[in-house]
Amino acid sequence: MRNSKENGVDRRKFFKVAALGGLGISFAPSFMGKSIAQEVKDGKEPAKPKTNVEDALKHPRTATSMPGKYPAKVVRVNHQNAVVDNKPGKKAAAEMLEKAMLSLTGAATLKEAWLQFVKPGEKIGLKVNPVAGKSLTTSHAVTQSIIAQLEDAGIPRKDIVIWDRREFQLHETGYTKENYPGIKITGTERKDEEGSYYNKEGDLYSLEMIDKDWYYWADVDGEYDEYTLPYMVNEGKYSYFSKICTQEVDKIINVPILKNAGASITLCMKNLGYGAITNTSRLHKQLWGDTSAEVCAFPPLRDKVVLNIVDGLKGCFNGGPGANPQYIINYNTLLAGTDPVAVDRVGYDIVIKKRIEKGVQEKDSPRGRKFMEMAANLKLGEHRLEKIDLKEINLG
Amino acid sequence: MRYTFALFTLLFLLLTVAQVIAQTDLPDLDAKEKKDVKIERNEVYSGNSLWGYINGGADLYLEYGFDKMRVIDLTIEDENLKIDLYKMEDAVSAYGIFSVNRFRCNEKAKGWMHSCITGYQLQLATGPFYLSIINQSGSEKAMKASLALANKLMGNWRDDYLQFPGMPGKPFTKMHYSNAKIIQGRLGMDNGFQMWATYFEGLENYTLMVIPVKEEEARFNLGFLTEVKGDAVDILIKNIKEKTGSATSQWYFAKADKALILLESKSSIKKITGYIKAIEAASEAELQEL
Repeated sequence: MRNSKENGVDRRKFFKVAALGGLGISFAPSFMGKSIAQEVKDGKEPAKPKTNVEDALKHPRTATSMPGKYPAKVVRVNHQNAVVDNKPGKKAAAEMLEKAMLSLTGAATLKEAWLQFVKPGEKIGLKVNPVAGKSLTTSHAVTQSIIAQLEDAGIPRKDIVIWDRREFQLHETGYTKENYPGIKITGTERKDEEGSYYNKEGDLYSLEMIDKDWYYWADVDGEYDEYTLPYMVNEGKYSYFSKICTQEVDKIINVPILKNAGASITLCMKNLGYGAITNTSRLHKQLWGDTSAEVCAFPPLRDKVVLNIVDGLKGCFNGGPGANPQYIINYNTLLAGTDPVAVDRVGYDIVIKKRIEKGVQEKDSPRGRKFMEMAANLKLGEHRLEKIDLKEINLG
Repeated sequence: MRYTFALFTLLFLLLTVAQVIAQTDLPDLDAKEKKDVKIERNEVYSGNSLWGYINGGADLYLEYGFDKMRVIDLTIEDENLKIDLYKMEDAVSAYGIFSVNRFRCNEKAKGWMHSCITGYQLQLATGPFYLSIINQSGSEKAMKASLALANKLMGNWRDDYLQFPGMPGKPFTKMHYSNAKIIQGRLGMDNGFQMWATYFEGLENYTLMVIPVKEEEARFNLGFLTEVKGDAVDILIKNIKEKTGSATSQWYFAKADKALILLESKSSIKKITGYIKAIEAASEAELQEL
């Protein structure tokens, strides 16, 4: 590789020369090539693609359907020393979780609290979030605390499953059988030990993991090249649910991280909505909020997610759902509730306040809360802050 | 003789093009160079396969015009480092993604015009590349290693940074331009300059360069929106008029030859007169109050 000047292409000079065209304001030529005419009609938002959310609503609700046992109730536990040496602390996490469970349920003992949601003999799935990599995965401090308390409540390790879309991301972030002996670590998208996504027959391993009886249909086509397909599993207008949530587990405990997504958040519903189905990239542009809300309205999630525990020991206020270190912050907090919309609404306020405080955003925008309104319309929970019963506990 | 000259010229041009194409390949580290460097991962993602690496985070990069990237996880003298080297469509895209990712930089990296050092990260944009090196310890040693890796990877692009030609002169300084953000869509706006997001609702495929000026007496945001056509300008202006709210700021605009200039001032007009004169002189257009 040679310096650009040696190649005879002095880009600085090139830009300067390009600017000498009598232009009022001159940008580099590439600016002009990319900036094409806007196609805005009457300033109105284009009509949204149709989805099959109506199919979800046809299924009768059950005793465990969202918003669950404690609608519109959220417990927030803060701990000054939740993060030590830049790592979430196990002792603090366990204490925060205990206080949250007792406060949420009003139970006399921790065991009784957990047994309000799960019982021995059930397979319990912990839906974690390893998307941002090692720096900002669902912390092991919180996950291990949940497991320890489940065990104390009589749930054996063999009946606990840690899962997410991408099995290999779980491994990369320390969710391994070595770190979690006796607990199954699994994902919808997977590869073999040689790193191949395909079996001997040339089919994606992930295809074995999807349940074609359950799908989210949206009138947006997903088309992928050969490199992208293993991460999306299938093309077309169907997003299939993972067998992990439709067949493998009986109950789901949702454990997202306190993160922003632009001027909104990626917490309970986003972790579930985008974490449980295939073929998602087609949905981001026009149906970001709709997917977060509507996928949660389907029984495999609506009726199985019994608890949401937001790991806010560390989190981020910008750059999410990735993990840019300059935006990672110790929120030193943990949220718990059965109502994913209410928990998201409380988490939303925490993140947006931090964004405003840090100067990345001037004020709250209703657009960021839209998906929670949609979820409330689907009767998945409470989105109005004034209607939410928020209990706050300070420790440490 | 004439044909020989033409052939020579053609060959020279082809050679130059070939060199430029070769140059745009993703730089890599030679693992054999140092014994104390252990590379644990070295993968390349291109186009939409970025979804495989950063899932939902890919949207922002795709909006800016993502080409391909190299991910390297390595250990160097007990320091864990993560290198993300993005090759974007061009220098503007690379600067754009850099401009929305940097935040409260402690300092710049020596020799890199568009760079940002924070405790745990080194970022820089040069040519069509955006480089991020994240360390786990936040130590001086880790940053030193990061800088050495950046020089190793991007050394040949050291002098290849984007400049902003034709922009207003004094009282604008290099410092102002080094704070510039380039926005190319909704996600960039949400991540980089959210305060203007509401005004740009419904607009697509634009390139906005925005310079936030926050000085003691002069506080304003200056935007250059390129190649706006049709009724998009009218919609934008209508949005600004309708959504400014409590009017804590005053808006001005000018339709220059190739750009719409937007100025949102939070200071009184008297305090920013020098800046306005410079903008009008460079654009040969007069700013009008909205």
